[in-house]
Amino acid sequence: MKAADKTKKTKGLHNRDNMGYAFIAPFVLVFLTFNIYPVARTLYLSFTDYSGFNVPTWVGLTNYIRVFKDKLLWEAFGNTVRIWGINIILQLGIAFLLTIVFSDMKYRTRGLSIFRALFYLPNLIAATSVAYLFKTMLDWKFGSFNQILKGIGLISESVDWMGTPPLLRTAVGVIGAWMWFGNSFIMLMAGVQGINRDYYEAAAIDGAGRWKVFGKITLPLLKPIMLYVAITSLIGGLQLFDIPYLMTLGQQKQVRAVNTAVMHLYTMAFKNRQIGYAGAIAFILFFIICICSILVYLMMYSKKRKEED
Amino acid sequence: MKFKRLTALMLAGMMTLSLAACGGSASTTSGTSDTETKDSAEETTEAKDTDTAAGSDDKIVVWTLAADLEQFAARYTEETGKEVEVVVIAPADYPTKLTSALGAKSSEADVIVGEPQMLPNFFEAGFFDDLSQYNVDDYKDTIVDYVYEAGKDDQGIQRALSYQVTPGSIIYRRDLAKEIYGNDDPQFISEKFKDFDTILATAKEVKDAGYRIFSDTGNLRWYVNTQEPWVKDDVLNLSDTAIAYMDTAANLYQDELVAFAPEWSAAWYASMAGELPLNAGWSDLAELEGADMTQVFSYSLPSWGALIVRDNAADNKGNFGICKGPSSYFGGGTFLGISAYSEKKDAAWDFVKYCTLNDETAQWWLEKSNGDVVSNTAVLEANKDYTNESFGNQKTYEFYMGEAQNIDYSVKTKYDDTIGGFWGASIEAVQKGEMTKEEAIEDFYMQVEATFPEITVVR
Repeated sequence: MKAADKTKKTKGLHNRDNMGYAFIAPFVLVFLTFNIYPVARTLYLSFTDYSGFNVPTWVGLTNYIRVFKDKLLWEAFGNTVRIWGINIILQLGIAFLLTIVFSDMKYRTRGLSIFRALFYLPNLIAATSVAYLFKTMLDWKFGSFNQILKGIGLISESVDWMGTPPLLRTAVGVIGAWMWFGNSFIMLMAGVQGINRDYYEAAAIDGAGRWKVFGKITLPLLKPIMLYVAITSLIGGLQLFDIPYLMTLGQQKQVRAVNTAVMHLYTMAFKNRQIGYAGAIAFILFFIICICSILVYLMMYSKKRKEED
Repeated sequence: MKFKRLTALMLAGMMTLSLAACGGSASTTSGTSDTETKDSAEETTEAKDTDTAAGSDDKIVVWTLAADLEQFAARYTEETGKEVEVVVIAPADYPTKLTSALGAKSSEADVIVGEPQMLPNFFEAGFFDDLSQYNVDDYKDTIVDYVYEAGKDDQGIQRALSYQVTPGSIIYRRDLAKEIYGNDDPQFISEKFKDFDTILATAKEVKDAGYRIFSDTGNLRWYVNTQEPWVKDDVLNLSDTAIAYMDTAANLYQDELVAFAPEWSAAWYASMAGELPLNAGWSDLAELEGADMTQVFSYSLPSWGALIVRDNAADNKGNFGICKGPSSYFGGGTFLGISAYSEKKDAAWDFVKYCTLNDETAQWWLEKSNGDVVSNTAVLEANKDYTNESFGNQKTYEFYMGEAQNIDYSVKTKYDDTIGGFWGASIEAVQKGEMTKEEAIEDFYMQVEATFPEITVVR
């Protein structure tokens, strides 16, 4: 009774119930300053004609209407999807193959943790270094890639990888796959390791072959994680910027070939000084990413509900 | 327990303080009012002139992308005893750094600079102070007209001035001209560059002699929209000159009438001294041993380009001439102004005036820079008879002065850089056969419409 009275009388930070606010204050302050404020400010600016130099004037939905009319933006979306398509097929394909190899009891592949680290390594290299490395390798005159292909007799004339739009898009997609297949592999392996061993034992007792086990047990049970990888990759793909931007720096024609939605946003904001419009592009992208995230959530939720049923 | 609480509170406090400090540094207060007159400025200057032991309190800070101003500042300090700190910022970083600092109303810089393509944005942002308070109009005739006009904002308020002019020219090889035409006279060669059709014919003559007219097709870009603006009354103006440029550039490229050495490439620099490998692109010369060689007949560059050619000419020094191209234009130049947030505006004006409107400074810079073309009309006039050894004893100042006076600044718009870039990309697509001319023009229209919805495109 005495202790309760004491608690009631104390105020402010002396009240232990209020101490929590002080403890979370640093995080909340940083979060509000560096996360919430920029988003709110971008939202506000997306309804203005702000150029970075002028006093913002309210223009209503003009910027959002413009997004739907901007042919360059939709061309950039097209590029983004094409690059992502190449990326996801390769990224998931390689990751899947490796998962099969490393999860098959028969192969008994050793050193999984070492391989896992090795496959993940490209993801740890800075995007600037990756872009410069591939830009040098893909140079049509002196790039090592053409020299290797010529050396093994696959081509007789140098290929202009950087100057041919479809090849450049393919190259950017392949680079993305190379950087991210390790990440997908780790997730798929985690999925495989999460499958109940009883299924495999039951299949073995029933005399199922390796491919049957893979097709009827591993693949269906891995489907949710595969979808998760695909959709998170789509979210990442929609934000694709660093590699194509750094590889094509200053080359107008090359920029157009791999101009992604975020590159277009960047050009509008920092080259053409149309920050209000760039804000509207950012929010349209944000909504698309939100829709993708909701899809992931619904997929996981429906799976859980089915399991409960 | 008490210790833990205290530690947590201290940590929270420190983080809050550090955040507050970060914000504080970017919110320096603004400078003095705009009502000071030229008289007061002169008084201040005179007062300071008598104070030979000017302390660091009087020091002004110059933010620039041109290292030239370091030499101006050293001479200014030597003559006046006033301290000037020059901060040279890489041109690629300059607009961003200036925008973030002055956007936060920083009073750190007193004198700021800009190149012509940057000025409209800087003026719109209010970074450059109004110079009319210093009666700048009194000095209107001191410098070349187009330089004076380039320093005005869209309301006609003078905000910046430059110490140099950068008119365009065709810089050609006199020895090759004699070999091909038996004549190296600038008037005669100028006729060979009078319009795009003539340039194409000249290119064929030069190729027949075993040389190439230009290092690459981009040499012609300067002449697009020198007489008509890209945008007039918010309507896109795809001029006949721009179309002619596309046709000529495509022909030059497809008939291999240029050397295919882009500006600023190793081969481009090498061409000024003699032979260069054909189709060198951006490659290192060492990688091109055994390639077919040629020589470049001419370079289409502003006045600063003449200095580059001279400095890389090696044994070819003295072998060059300068003449007029299809039209007069300018490219580049450093413009000085007073930061709107400076707390030492009078001292800043004194330095700007010293660099841009002072006859003695202009004469000194003309000699010191060994060839930079100054904006000061009296000094240009005084040096018009100077014969330049590097250019076959040609009167180069007289030539550039004439060209500078022909420049029509009214055709310049804030869209020029971006729209020019789109047009260049369309030309490249036609040159390489990736698009037909009609497709490339349509693509150009689409890019302009998408980027600048305020511009009407009439097809």
